[in-house]
Order: sequence, then C-alpha cells, then structure tokens
Amino acid sequence: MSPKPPLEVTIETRSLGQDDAAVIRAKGEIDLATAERLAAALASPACANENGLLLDLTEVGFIDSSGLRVVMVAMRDFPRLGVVFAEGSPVERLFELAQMLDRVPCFRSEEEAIAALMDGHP
Amino acid sequence: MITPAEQRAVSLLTLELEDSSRLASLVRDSDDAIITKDREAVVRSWNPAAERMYGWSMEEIVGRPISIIIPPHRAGEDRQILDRILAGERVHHYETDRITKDGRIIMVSLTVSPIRDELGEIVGASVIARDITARHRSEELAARLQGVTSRLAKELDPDIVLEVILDQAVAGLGADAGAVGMVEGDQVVLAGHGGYSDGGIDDWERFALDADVPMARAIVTGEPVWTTSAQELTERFPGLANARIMFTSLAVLPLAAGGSPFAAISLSFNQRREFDTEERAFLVAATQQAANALDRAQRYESQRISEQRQRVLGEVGELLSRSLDPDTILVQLAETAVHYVADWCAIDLIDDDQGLRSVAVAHVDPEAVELAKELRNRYPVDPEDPTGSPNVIRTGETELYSVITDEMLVEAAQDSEHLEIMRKLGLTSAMIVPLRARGRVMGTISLIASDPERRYDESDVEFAEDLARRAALAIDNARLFSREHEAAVMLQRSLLPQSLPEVAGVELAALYEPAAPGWEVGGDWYEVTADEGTVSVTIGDVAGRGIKAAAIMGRIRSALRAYVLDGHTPGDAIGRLDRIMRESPEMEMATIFHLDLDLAAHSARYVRAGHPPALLRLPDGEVVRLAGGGTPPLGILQGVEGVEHEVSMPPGSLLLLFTDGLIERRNEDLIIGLGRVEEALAQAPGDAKGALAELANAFRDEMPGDDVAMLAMAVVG
Repeated sequence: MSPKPPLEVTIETRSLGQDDAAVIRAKGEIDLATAERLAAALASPACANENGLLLDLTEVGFIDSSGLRVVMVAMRDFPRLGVVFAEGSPVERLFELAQMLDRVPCFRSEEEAIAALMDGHP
Repeated sequence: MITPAEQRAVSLLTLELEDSSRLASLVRDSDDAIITKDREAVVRSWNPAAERMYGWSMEEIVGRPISIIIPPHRAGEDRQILDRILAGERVHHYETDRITKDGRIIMVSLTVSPIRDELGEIVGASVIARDITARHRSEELAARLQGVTSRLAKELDPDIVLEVILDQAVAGLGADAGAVGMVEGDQVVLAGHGGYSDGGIDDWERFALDADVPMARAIVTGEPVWTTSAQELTERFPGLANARIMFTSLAVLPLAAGGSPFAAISLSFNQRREFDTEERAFLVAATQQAANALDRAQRYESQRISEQRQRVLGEVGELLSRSLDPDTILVQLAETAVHYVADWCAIDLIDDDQGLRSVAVAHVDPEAVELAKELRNRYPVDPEDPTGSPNVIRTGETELYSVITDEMLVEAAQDSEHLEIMRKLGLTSAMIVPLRARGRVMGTISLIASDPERRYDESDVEFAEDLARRAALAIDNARLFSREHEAAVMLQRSLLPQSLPEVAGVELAALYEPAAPGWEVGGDWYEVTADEGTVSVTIGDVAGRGIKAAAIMGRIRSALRAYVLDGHTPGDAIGRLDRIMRESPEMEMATIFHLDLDLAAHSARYVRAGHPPALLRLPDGEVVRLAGGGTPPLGILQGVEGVEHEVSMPPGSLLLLFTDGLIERRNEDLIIGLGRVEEALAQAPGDAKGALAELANAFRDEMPGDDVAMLAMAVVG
C-alpha cells in the first residue's frame, strides 16, 4: 500500500565448488503484502531445486505467518537449504513460537551456511 | 554716460556684425549661436543662429542682461562663467541648460572666450553655443533602453516586468500618466497604472477587446496609436467623444512576442506633444523588451504551474491509495486542495436518499473552517437549485465562475447574515467540479478562491477535473472494496460456529474480530466439540487472506471436527489433518492449537501445531503458557506427528486460546506481546464471557491490521 516496498529481495548465485547455490537476501518486513515477492524469488529460474539455496533473513525486521509459510515451502522444495538469521531476531522468535526452530536448517552467517552446504555435497 | 573706454569696448564687441569682413559673414552664417557680452554680462551682439535657438531677436536682446536666457535652476551661472573669463580663463564645451523666449528648456554646449582690446585688457566675452538637446535626448533614451533591457533580461515576475516598463516609458517620454492593460479572454484588464489623478482610471479597469478605444485598437491591429491632441483623439475614436478625457496627447503601444498582441501600454500627456522618431523608436524597442520578458515570465509561470500540478497529482495519487475509507480520502483531498489550488474547498456527496451530504470542508485559514462549516449548516444546499452543486450533479458539467463580484454575492445571499458570512470567507473566483466514476456522478468538489489574485480559468478547470476524476475512482474502488470486504467477513462468520454448545462443567465464550476495512479478512477460526465426558476446544489460523482462506478454514474445521467425533486423540487427529491437507494441492499452511479436556478428571491433552501457546490461569491466579512443542505448522512438511502434552485444569481454571493477531506488533518481540496478554488475563474476571470481553476491550485498538479469534473456557467443576 505504501509507495516504497518495505521489503527488498535480491538474488545472487554463489559457487559451492561442484555446483551453485542461490542466495536470496530479504531486507525489510515480510507480511501478507510482501511475502509474495519472497515466494516469487524462490520460484525464479535462478533457484534450481537440486542446487543449494541460502535464504538470508538477517535484515528482516518483521515477519509473520505469511513469511513462515514461504520458509516452510522452501524447506519442502529445497533439500539443500540454509536459512540465516540472528539470535534473538524476530525471525528466530517466530520460528520458536511456531515449533520450527529445531526443524529449520538455521545458520548465523552466510559463510557458515555455505560451508555447511558444501559439506553436504563434497 | 558712456566713457570713451566703454565706447571702444562696445565697438570691439559688436565689430563683427556690422563689419562686412569674412569674419562677420562667418558669424552671420554659423549654425551655432554666437553671442558677445560685456564685463557686466550685458548682451552686445546676437547672431541669427542665436535668434533661432533662443527665440529672442537681436533687437530685443542686445543691451539686456544675458541672465534672460538662464533658467531659474541655473541662476547665477552666467556670473560664475564671466568671472572665470575675466580672470583670463577659457571655458570649453560646457554643457548646461538654457531657457528660450517661449519657456522651453534646451540643452546647450558652451565655449566661452575673453575678448581683449589692443592693450590686452579684457572687455567682454564671446560665447559660442550649440543646441545639444536632441543629441542629449537620444543619448538619454539609449541609456534608458539599455537599462530596461538589462533589468528585464532575467526577470521572471510579470508584476515587476510591468512595473519596470511602465516607469521607464513614463520617465523616458516625460508622460504624466501611464497604464498597462492585459488581454483576458475577450476583455482587456488593467494590470498596472501610475500618475492618474483620483478616479481618472476608474472607468478603464476592464473593457471589451472590441471596444473602439486606443488600447483595444493597438492590441487588435498590432500597431501603435499616436495622437497629439484631444481633437485628433476623438476624430480617430468617435466613441470617446463623450468620455471623460483628462489628457491631451497619447501614445499607445501593443505588446506582442511572436504571436498576436497580449497587452498594450498607454502613455498620457497633459500638454500637446509631438512624438519624434527617436522617441517612437525608444518606445517600440522598450515595449518589445517588455513583451519578450512577459512572454518568458508567462512560459516560466505556466511551466511552474504545470510542474506543481504534476506534483499535486502525484501527492493526491499517493493519498488516494493510502486509505480505503471514502470520507477519509475526501477530507485529505480537501486539505491538499487548499494547500495548492484553492483558498477553500468543500466536498459534497450524494447520500442514500439522494440529498447532498457535506463530507469535507477545508480552508487555508484554520479559523475560517468553522465559518465555512457554519455556512453549509445554516444555509444547506437546495437540491432544486438551478446552479451550483445540484446543477453540476444533474448535468455532470463543471461550473466555472472566473470572477465573483460583490454584486453576485448580494444576489446569491438569502439574508444579510448569509451575505456577511460569504463576505468574511471571501469569494472571488470558484469552480464546481463533478466527482464522477464509471459514468456516475457521486458528488462535487467546490474549489473557491478568496484571493483576488487567483482567478480560475479553463486550464484550472482541466486540472480540477483531472483531480476529481482520480478522487472519484478511488472512492468508487473503496466502496467496491468495502462491499467485498463485507462479503468475506460474512463468509468467515458463516463458517464459524453460530453458537457454542452448552457443556456441563465448563463455561465457554468465543469472539472473532475481523481486520479493519482496508485489510483483508484472514483465516482465523475456532471450534468447540463436546462428546461424552470430554470437550474439545480448537483455535486455528490459515495462511493467506480473503475469501479463499475463509473457504479453506471451513474445510479444515469440518475435517477436524469429524476426527474428534470419531474419537481420535488430539495427536492422532492433528496428524490426520496434516495428511489430508498435504493431499489437497489448494490447501494452505495452517497453525492449530487443539485441546481435549476430560471433564471428570479435569485433565487435558493438547497439541500445538506451530500455533502460539495458549494461556491457562490456574485457580491460584498464576498464568502458565501451554507451550509444549514438537508439532510444526500443518499442510507443508512431510512426516508431521501431532505431539501431545498433558496439563491439569482444576475447577476455577480459565483457559484462553487466541490467534497471533493478538500478540503480533511491528517493532516488538512476540514474547512481549504474549507477556501483555498474560498480564491482562491475570487481571481478568473469572468467567469466560467477562474475561473475553475485557481482553477484547483492552486489545481492540491495537489490532487493526490482522483479524483475531479468541476462545475462553472456564472450568466450573
């Protein structure tokens, strides 16, 4: 509704050695109005299901169940997934409340996540 | 008596003219005035050029003091010059003023030399004078023109351009008065004037472009008008024969820049006067500079206006998209309008019984807003009025009142108080524009100016109509949306239990609060199922919004209810629900809190599938979170099991289930929101209905963006 989207989504490809990982960075607020953009990024050609996917939510200041849903869809569709967010962040709080914290492949930094994704596929 | 020495001096001084020598004929034929005067400043000789220049004949002036041709503001100058000559000096090309026999001031350049006798004694002075009036005049006009050019070169304020050209033209030609008229439609309107005696210009504030008067003719023909006498004026403009003419000569020049003239400047002279070539050239050139400057200023102004309009439209567009409440939209629109395009603005909408309802009134002066509202209330618009808003609504056509005079106000006033209010508010120009969307007129916007400088014209109407079109569309959309919103709310409510079952041993209350208009309806729901010694309470949230989410919610609810009535435990029922949700591709993610209470044992088992914890107030007042985990949101992930947790709920316990809308705030940790609800629950009354009512009251204002469902159950034993 406001002129400037309160959520910015960028996609970048990073090498995992043998194959690639798409890095999706979200910055701003993920709610009903903006979650579709994040979902669209997941469905973009840059994100191949067999490759790795890194969802960086470090700069998300607000997330509600619409955002939770997108992350769950990513968990379902991308076997090699890393979700990055900070300790005590709104993202962590929501995952905790939604019983998802022990299910989400969670990392504290993109580097940590990349390292883990490479370990999974040497 | 004249002494012999004096006699000799006089003969020396007059020698040239009586002599037939070559020198004498040179003096006689010279174009310059050649004069001799004695030591006492008495004129002793006077050549024909001097006669032509000063108007005095030789016979008249010889023997009289030279001070006759010195104007009052140069008095004494002749003596000073003579003193220098007697001291043996010469005076070269001294520029000064002299006065002619008929009182004209002329400019002269003087060269004065001493005349000596054979012994070398100075007996007088010769003066050679050249009339430099014309030369000086053309220099002055050239300098003035240069001044006009440089002052107007970058001037963008039309008022200053008019002031400069008027001042300089009046001063340049020594006019007694001057005026500028600008074309406005088929009229000429006075835009500036100076020098007229009281009331002398009153008849000319505004006149028709086709009137037979000098200014109109100059504008229509594009040619200057020069008249040297009142008689010539009335001969050429018979229509002026009976007019009050306060002047004798007149110069009128049209102002045009490329196209046809858009203005004229008029100079009036009390004395009869000819206009020489240089003066005409000066006026033509100066007015051309002014015309160019005005043209440039107007272009700049219209560009500025068009840029401002674009800005306003952008601002309004944003404002219109910000709200979905028609009245809010219109109030903000009125405020924006008085900020940019009007001094006051009134917006009226047709209401359900076809009357006019005043929705918004705004005024640049906040104190005048009340006055404007009073005007509307005390003198309501008559729907049968042949003009104004009712007429605009009937015809769908804008009404433009470019100029509203006091007479028009008197005419329109219903009584003296009405007139007084209108005068206080100020009404000098107005336009009433229809609010029309999809072919239907729904009301009007009245834009009113109280500043005489602001006169609405066709381009303002175009802009106002553009503004009104956008506003009308936004209002229509808001109305449409509000109908859709109502439909979704209705569906949502129809899918929720119409009433809660009566169950012995517990008291139940539930509430569904839809999101405010402007936000979509969500998929929050609740359910109560009673079956042989147990009661199941459930609350859930389906991701997504609108009618689709409401429909999915309905299916989940009936599926769960069927499992419960089949006797499935909470964990089992939730596991099954997850599987059927994942089998239906159109299903969404859902969170659920589901609890079975054994009414005899006062013990409960619950599953929390990704849902916020429920809160339980124990009989001693302690509030605990039912936060047992293990089950994620349903509908997406594989291998979800409903993990059960047990809790004791002795009589006096109060259970509260809710959806995330109650605890979710931007810029705030969810846990803080949860803590707030815990505190409120600790203070709430012991019965389910009372507790729920109080919680709803406490949190209603804070939950506009999301819908909220709540279910309370008190164990009564």
